[in-house]
Amino acid sequence: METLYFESREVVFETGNLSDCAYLVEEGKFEVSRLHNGRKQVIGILKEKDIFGEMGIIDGQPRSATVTALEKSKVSLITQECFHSMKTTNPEALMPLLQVLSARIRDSFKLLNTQNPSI
Amino acid sequence: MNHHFITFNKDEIIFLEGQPSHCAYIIESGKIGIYREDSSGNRFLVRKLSKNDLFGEMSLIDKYPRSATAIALKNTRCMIIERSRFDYLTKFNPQFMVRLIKSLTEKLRTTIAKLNKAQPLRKNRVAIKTTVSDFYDIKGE
Repeated sequence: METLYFESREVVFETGNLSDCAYLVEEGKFEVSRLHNGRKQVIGILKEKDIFGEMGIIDGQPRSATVTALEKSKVSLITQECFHSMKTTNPEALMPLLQVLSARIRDSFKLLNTQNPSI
Repeated sequence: MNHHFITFNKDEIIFLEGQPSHCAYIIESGKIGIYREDSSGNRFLVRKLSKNDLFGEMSLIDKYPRSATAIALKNTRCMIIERSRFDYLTKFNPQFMVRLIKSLTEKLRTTIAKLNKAQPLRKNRVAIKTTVSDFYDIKGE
């Protein structure tokens, strides 16, 4: 797997960017943010062993958030080929990915419940 | 492996939010509505599903209670995917795996889009960040 290095404040990707890979944090820290009414909201911090950008390799839709390095960081790139080979040779290995998606959906549901859900 | 089917009458509740669960469903014919409840207990429609749509799979993945309520909107026939079959399919059927992942991703994107339209996040609240240290072990190195 390819390794990428990021300097502090360097942007990995921005909301709306085209996406073709996911990232696994090897070292360092990243901030996940989105814009709301033109203002930046930090919605999460990623650290070692966290994965991000996985939705992009799955459905190829534009990025749903912006990720910025908070310090000198190192990530492994999970390409689409890597993802596709895993799903054919060992589909069960993707279970952790399903679990993460499930957890994110439940988190987002909870958050929606505290806001106006019917929008 | 034999397929099991079940028929629901119009307005019949298939499962309720918060219930423990043992199976997922694929719609053969008919239509169902997925509902959730807001913090004051009002039920609202999240989406409608029809032929070939999969639902109820989240609880099989993470073993938590149902995250939503499912109600038949007309007479509906579904194929039941029990835990044992689900485990078999996720082990040996890449297409099923891909289907699951796509269904979850779609759900997540819809929810995020709704969140983005709703009120801004309260301070210190984390929306779409989860740790997945397990994934580290399946890098395929």
